[in-house]
Order: sequence, then C-alpha cells, then structure tokens
Amino acid sequence: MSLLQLTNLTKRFRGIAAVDGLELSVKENEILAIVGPNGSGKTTLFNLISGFLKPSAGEIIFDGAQIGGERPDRLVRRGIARTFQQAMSFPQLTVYENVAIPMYASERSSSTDIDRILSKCGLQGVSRHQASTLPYGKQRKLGIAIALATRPRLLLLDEPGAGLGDDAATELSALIRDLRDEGRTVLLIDHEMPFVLPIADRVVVMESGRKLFEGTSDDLVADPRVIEVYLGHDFA
Amino acid sequence: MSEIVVSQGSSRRIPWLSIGFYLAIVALGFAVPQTLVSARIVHLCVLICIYGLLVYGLGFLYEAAGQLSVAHGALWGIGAYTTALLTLNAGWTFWICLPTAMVTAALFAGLLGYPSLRVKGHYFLIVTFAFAEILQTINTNWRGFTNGDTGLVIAVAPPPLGPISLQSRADWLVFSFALLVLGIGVLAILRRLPFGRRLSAIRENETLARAAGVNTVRDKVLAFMISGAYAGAAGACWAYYQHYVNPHQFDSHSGIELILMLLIGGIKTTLGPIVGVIVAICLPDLFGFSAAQNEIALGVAFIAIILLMPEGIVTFAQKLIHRLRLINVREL
Repeated sequence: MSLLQLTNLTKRFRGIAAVDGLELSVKENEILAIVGPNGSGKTTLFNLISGFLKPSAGEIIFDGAQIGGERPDRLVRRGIARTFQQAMSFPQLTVYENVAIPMYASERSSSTDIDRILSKCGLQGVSRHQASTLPYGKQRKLGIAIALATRPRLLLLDEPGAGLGDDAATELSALIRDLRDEGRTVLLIDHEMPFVLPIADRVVVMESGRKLFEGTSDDLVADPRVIEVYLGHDFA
Repeated sequence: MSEIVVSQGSSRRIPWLSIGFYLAIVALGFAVPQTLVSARIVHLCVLICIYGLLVYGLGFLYEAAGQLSVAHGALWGIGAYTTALLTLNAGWTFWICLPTAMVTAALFAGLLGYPSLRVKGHYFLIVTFAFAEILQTINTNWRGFTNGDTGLVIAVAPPPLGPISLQSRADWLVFSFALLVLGIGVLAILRRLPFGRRLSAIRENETLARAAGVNTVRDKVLAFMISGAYAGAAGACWAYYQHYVNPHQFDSHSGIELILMLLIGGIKTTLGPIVGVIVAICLPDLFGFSAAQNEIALGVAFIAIILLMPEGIVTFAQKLIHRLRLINVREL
C-alpha cells in the first residue's frame, strides 16, 4: 500500500523548475533512497514533502490526504519527520532536552519514549552533554533522534551518512534498517552509493528535477542511463 | 511528565548567586518604605520597578524570538493611555484599568507581532520602529481623543483594594515591587512549562524547531503578547503613579532606551534586566544630570559597555568571579 504519493509535483524558482512534474509512490514500511547529482532537486523534494516549501503545481498525498503546502508542524502531527543536510541541533540544550522538544510541541509524543530513542541512537551515554559539544557523528544521530521523538510514520533523512567514517556509517545503516523493521517508512537522500545501495529496498535517481530511474539497487548499477548521467563508467 | 524530563536532562547548577541577589532585593524592596530614606530614593525605586517590568517583558520577547522590539515603548504607552482614557472618560478605577491595560497592550502586540515576527533582524526592528512612530503620531494628532501634546492628567489616586492602599509613594513602592517580583516569577514559571521549552528551541534553531513540530509563529506571537501585557501593566502603573501621560513619553526613543537598559545589564542573564534598569535610572540621578545630559550619559555608557563588556554587566561580573575563583584554586 502506498503511504506517500506524488503526482506531477513541480516546484519552480523564478521560472526554473527544481522539481519538474515528479511522479513517485512510496510504499509503507520500505526504505526508498533518492540519489542524483548536485542540483537534481532532491533536497527541494524533501522541503516540499515536509512543508518547508509550497509546491508550484501537483499533489502530495500522504495517507490518503492531500498535504501539499501544509505547515511543517501540522505535517509532524500527521506523522512526517525530517532531518537536514547539515547536522542540526539545539546547541545550548542538553542531548536529552533536544530529544524532548517534540514532546513539548506535540501531544503525539511522550517522555517515556525518550530514553528508548536515546538508547536506539546510541546517545544514552551523552544524554546530559550539551549538544554543541558532541562529535559530528553523534550530532547526526541526534538529528535522527529528534525526528524519531515526533513518532513519525514517514522519516525523511537528508544525507544521513555524509561525512561519517566507516564504523559510524555501518552503525547508521543498522539503525535505518531497525527503523524499517519497526514499521516505519524511510525516504533517504545520500550521495554515498556504498552506504545507500545495501540498505535501500528501492532506489530513485533524479536528474534536473525529474525521475531518471526507479528500481532495485541491482537494476540501478546495470542501468546505462544512470551510469551515463550519475554513476560514471568507473563505478560499473 | 515534563518535570521528569527537566530533571533528567538538565545539567544546570543551582544559581546561588542569583538566588542570593533576589533575596537581598526582595528584603530591600519591602524594607525601604519602612525606613527613613528620602522621598527621592523611594521615587527612584518605584521607577526601577516600573521600568523593570518593561525590560523583563522585552527580555522575554528576545528569549522567545531572538528579536529586540522598538515598539515596547509604544506598548507601554498603550497601557498608560488605556488607563488614563478609561479613568477619565468611563470612571473606571485603577484596579479595573490595570488588567484592561494589560489585555489591550497584549492585543496590540499580537496584531503587530503576527505579520512582523515573520521577518527577522533589522527588518523586524524597522517594523517595530514604524509602529512606535505611527502610534506617537496618532497620540499627538488625535487631540479630541488623547488631548494631543498637552496629554492627560489623572488627578485621582486608586481606591483601596482590601488591605492594598496606594496613597503614598511608599505604598507605590511596595505595590510596584510586589508586581515586579510577581512578574519575574511568572516568567520563571513560563520558562519551565512546555511553552517555555518550545521558546528556547525556537531561539536556538527555528528551522529545526519547525521540523520538530513547533508552531513557531503562534509561540512567538504569544510571547510577544505576554511581553506586551508586561508593558501594559507598567503603563497602567505609570499613568496613576505619575498622574500624567503625554505622547512623547512613549515614542520610539523610549523603546530604544528600554533596549539599551536590557543590553547594558545583559541580555542572556536573569539578573541582567534589573541591573540595566538600576544603572540607567540611578546613575543620572547620582550625578544630577538633566534630561539631555541623561541621554548622552546613557549613550556613552552603552558604547563603553559594548566595547568593554559586550555581553552586559552581569555576564561580565559572572566571568570575572569565575576567573577569580580559578586563580584562587591555582594558588591553593
């Protein structure tokens, strides 16, 4: 069953289409990766789905309801949460207080979840630390923990593996799989193909705001258009 | 539930310095009227309490939205004019005018805040400056309603309310001081409620706060309204204490003065606002400055503080104490 359905989704900035008539269906309980070169419209797509931008045209259907143009806080209440390309936190608050913010914002969340989320994200040992003092890898996990505290059905992860070392990337892959196994749907953007391909159930390649490819990881690496536009012949 | 979160997540130490300072101030505030200090000192203390309400309200808006508003002087004027007009035209007493002034100023703050809090930094400052100027123009030129430049005189004192009587300056000091303590206490409670936690999130990272489900516009407007209610209360007290209101008391210049008081004391500390007010009110009096000299002195003090202690007097003092402690530890 489709949890998120994008129909002819378009976003123009002064006439230039960053997302151009995109059609996409995200099934419940899957990990869908969106890859593509810089400027292909991936982050704009996240901003549209999470309410940070309003579509110029087209529809965003989430759980049967048209949500295009709704405010981010309303979408969080519907069950859509996101992280950002840069590691973001509330820097002067403790890690625990960071993860508690969604609880203060929404009746959906409860404080009983916070310890579990911190433990799941490997942050229980630093829960009293100020967020700004965390190393980069833990800051990225903190971003995911804040998003999880909203109790999302659909989690949008914007380049979660960017800048992580091998060990941290492996931990993060395991965490994303866990989230899927818990019943969440994960939509993720990343450039790191060795990080994305093993965990994604399906992959979509975007190019100039349009969908170039949609399929499994195995199909992707064999697709000549994807090799030509994005992966390069060295990758194949 | 919220308390569990705070206790588990907070790594803050008990602020003994602040607690001690406040206890001393509370003791002093209630003791001064009972002692034989001069009427001038009592008057200054009343002014400190009224300005304290204003500057704490302004500081709360900064905490919430990370914004400084020049309109706070105008909101103070709305509270004062609401009180004066209702007293003179409708015969309302101070005790009814006080909450009405708070609500009126809060509503104006909401009307101003809803469109203006969407813009940031200098733009917000300009919008609030324009609001203050518009209001002053209305107060000056709508003579049939506000009596223009001549202003309005309130020749009556508030009637006693139970044991509370506001007949003398000493009475006013006790009342305005109690109001200030109550105001600071309410803000302290608000900071610990989910609303206050959301405000801290907005101040820290508004984009992430939105992604975490915080309705940032609603919370910022609400914070502006609370801040406006404080200005309204200060306006009501001002009108009855000074017995006189005129448009020039509440122009954009007064709004800038309030910002200076906040910055001089320190914007990030609980003690900062009251220290800033004490400096701005007492120093000119100590040196016997005229109104014009006072403005120059405030400007010079501000420049000196920006250059020497950019985070304000209180943060500077805290850092100094911390450094002295470190030196003592090293010597041991």
